[in-house]
Amino acid sequence: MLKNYLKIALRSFLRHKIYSAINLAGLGLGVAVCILILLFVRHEWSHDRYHRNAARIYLVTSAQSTSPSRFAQTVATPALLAPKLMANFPEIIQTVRFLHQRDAVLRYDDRLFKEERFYFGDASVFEVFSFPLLAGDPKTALREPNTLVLTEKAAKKYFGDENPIGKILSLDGQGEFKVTGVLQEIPTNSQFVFDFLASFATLGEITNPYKYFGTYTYLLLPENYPAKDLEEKFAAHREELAWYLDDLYFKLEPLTKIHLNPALSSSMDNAGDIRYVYMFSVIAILILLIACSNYLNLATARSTLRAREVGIRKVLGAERLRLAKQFLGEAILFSLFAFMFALVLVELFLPVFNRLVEKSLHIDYVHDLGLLLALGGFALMVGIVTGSYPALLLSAFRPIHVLKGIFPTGSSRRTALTFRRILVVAQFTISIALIAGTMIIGRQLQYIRHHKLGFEKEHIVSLYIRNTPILQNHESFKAELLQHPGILKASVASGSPFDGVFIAPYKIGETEVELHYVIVDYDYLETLGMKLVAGRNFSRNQTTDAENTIILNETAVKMFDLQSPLGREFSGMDAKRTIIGVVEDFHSASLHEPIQPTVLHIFPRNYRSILVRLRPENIPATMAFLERKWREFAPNRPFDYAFLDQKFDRLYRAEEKLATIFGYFAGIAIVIACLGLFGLAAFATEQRTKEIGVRKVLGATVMNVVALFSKDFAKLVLLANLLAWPIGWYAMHRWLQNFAYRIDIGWWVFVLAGGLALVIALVTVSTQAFKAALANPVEALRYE
Amino acid sequence: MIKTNNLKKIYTTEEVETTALSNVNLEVNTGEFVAIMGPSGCGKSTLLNLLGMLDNPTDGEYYFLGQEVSRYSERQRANLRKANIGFVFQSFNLIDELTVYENVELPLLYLGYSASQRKKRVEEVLEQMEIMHRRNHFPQQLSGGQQQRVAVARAVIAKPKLILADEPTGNLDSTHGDEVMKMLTELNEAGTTIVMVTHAPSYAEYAHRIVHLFDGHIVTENFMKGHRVAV
Repeated sequence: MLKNYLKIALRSFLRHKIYSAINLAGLGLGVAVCILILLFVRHEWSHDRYHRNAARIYLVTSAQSTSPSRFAQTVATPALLAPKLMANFPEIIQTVRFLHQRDAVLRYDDRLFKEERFYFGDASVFEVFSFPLLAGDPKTALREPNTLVLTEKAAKKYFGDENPIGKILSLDGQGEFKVTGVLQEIPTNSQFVFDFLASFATLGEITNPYKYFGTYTYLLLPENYPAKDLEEKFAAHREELAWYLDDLYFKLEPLTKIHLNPALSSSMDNAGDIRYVYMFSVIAILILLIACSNYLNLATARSTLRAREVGIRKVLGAERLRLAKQFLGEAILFSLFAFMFALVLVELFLPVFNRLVEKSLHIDYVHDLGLLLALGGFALMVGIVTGSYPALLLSAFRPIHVLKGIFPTGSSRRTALTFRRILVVAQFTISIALIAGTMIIGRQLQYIRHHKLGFEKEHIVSLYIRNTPILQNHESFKAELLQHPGILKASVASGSPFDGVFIAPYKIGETEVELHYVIVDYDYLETLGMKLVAGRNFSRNQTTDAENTIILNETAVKMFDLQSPLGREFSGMDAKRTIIGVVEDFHSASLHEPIQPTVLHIFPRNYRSILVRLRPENIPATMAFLERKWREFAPNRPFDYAFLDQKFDRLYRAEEKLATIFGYFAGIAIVIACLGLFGLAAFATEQRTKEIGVRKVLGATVMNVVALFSKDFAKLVLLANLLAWPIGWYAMHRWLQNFAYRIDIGWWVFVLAGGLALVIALVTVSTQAFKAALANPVEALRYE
Repeated sequence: MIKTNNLKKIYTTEEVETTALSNVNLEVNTGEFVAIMGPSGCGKSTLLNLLGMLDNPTDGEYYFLGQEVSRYSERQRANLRKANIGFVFQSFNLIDELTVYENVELPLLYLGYSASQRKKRVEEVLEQMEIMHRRNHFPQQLSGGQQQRVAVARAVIAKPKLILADEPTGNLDSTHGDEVMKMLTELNEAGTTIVMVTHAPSYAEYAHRIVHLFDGHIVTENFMKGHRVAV
């Protein structure tokens, strides 16, 4: 019997090639999107679960209880916290500290590399976490000062094929390190992203309670130990533990919950965001719904074609249940085909998708039994969902009707028709909302790109000179650079506006305000093209400018409520300073944040970067010159530069990614929805061939006929618009709240999105209608 | 074999009630060959459907092999039907996606025959109907006469006690029509009861008895020569 069903399914599949192809393409595409998102979501969820002790490891975080709004939860703790915790709480089995070494420059022989992923870590790291060593002894590897372990890839980079154990690497400013172990590559679903892990012991006996404040402290607790209890005990010991801030309370974050919590994003990895995981999951479900709707629509619409078979089978003795099973089985079989097709699509699009989400996802068909089982179950589910309704509908046909060619009439037919209409409306609601969303995200990005920043970001290169000899010789370095015709201006500063900000309390009279500050020199405003709105710039001719003056931005003036800011006394940081100028507001963070009150002053001790404005012509030659000069002044430091506009773009990487992904999803949604519409239109015209013939004989024009068919579908798309607009508006309104500077959602976006969907739908439908309308009416009538 | 008491069928749509059959009393004995005649819309096919248990009567009683089946559930009717009744239709009603062999085999699948039993029986019937050479063809590759022969083969495959034929010759030319009638006669002579609906008086004459229907009533019953005594 099963063989009989399979045969029927396959033969009818092959006989109606267009419908089969539409169904297969639609469902396959939808499922492929789902599988891709499933891989992504699974990867995000799987973060840090590979550690044997994953469920028992916690990160110590803290926040100030008095004003949680101002002090967000922070993951930075002083290095001294871990030993204090160990001493006070016997239930803590072990602690591990990590400390990032910024701007590490490593040397081996004459080779020199800047390493971003250099950390210090306690020797206990191998006891608590599961980081297998390919060489070396985990018990002793990081026990001694000046030892380090490195990943296999890093070892290759420095030592080639030589055995790395025992080799000496020197770290600028920290002395020499002996390699005592080789780490297996850290999995990509890890919050730890180090290539080098040096022994914490290298940092020596820590006595200063404020030292190494950026330390991450992890705890290993006993099995099933309630972290809440420990948090309460911490609260009781606040005096002992929170010596560095008032009203500090501690919170323990489970290891596996850290990656997807954006509030903890300052931990080691490039954090994920649970909101994106949810958003993607929702989109996956919506696209799957659209794809399943297609199958349902075509299956129910074309059920009349199967009706005769149902009738014959019933006459020959098949009961309803048996027939229902047969059609359900067909849907499941079809779903399996769609999944196979989807897997082909997934393999094709994985590279693109990986680039989009910046992951290296893949399907392991041999070992990943869990995933394959899940996919199998998923296929079964899709088959059951899509097959149930057609199975019920088809198996209910009465043989005496269908065998006489009387197709299901009256209520059951109307139910099926209403059902199809609802599905089409749902499909287009989703598609239109996604298209509108894509447009709004795109417009917001456009707005960001063209928003006046208060300075010019083009053709400015920033060189990081802290820890280099150039810091001491910056004046002569600058003078040499300016010799080159390709270099227009240069300024030494704490950094460009995007390089992070410093915050300190400042006072005018009795008003104290927390201000952002930027350390600049005399040429900063000109180099960045910032405009003064009052007063003057810092001047080399005024000898006191370096110590006694300050420039505010407009927001700061507003904040202090200064009517005539110039000449006012201002205290903060080191000394009293006088306001000599007001600079037009400029953005120092992404447009998510409002412009902060900011002060600019000269303070050479805190210089970190040199900003160079280049002539736009022949930048490569100028860059070559810059590098040559760099080698001259700092022969032992790698040439470390970045263009400002690229840094700017990086601020919006998440949004750019979102826009691209949304665009793809919206495109796929509308393609799948139109595939379904195409199928329905093809079927409707096929069913009404005779009607078209009669109408044409009676004098209908081609346009009349096309309009007749398009009208039905146009109504559905218009209804979908009415539903999609409020939904899309609400979702995008919520998203835009993330930006301090944002566009207004114009009503026309929705009209445009809806219009676009309508045009696409009408083109799809009318191709079929035209074909039918152009046919010779005599043919159409003879066909009957 | 068949006995109906005041059989009645009313079709109800939203606006109209149509009485298709009223007070039909018909008896068909085992081994009989009965033809039902009458103008279009007189209720011939409705009667055949009721006799074939494809539909339940609105009122009245229907005894099939001694059982009163008029209130049977769909499942009960299906079970009774697949074991005892074979159908032949005007439009053949073969499944396009199945080959000749597979179409004929279908009733045996629903009766749960084993694969070897099915093969033996299907080949036997295909030989008998002289379409063995077409066993792997699809219905659309056959002529109308051949298709109807496949349909007859399918109707007799499970050795039913009763064959219900609804205008079996309606779509066939006279040569093929005669052929089909010959087959039915042979089956009847071998002991199968046959009830056939037809428009063509010449084919009705193959039957032992002709029942005339008009507006849902039986108006006359004619016994053919030589068969009057048999009843």
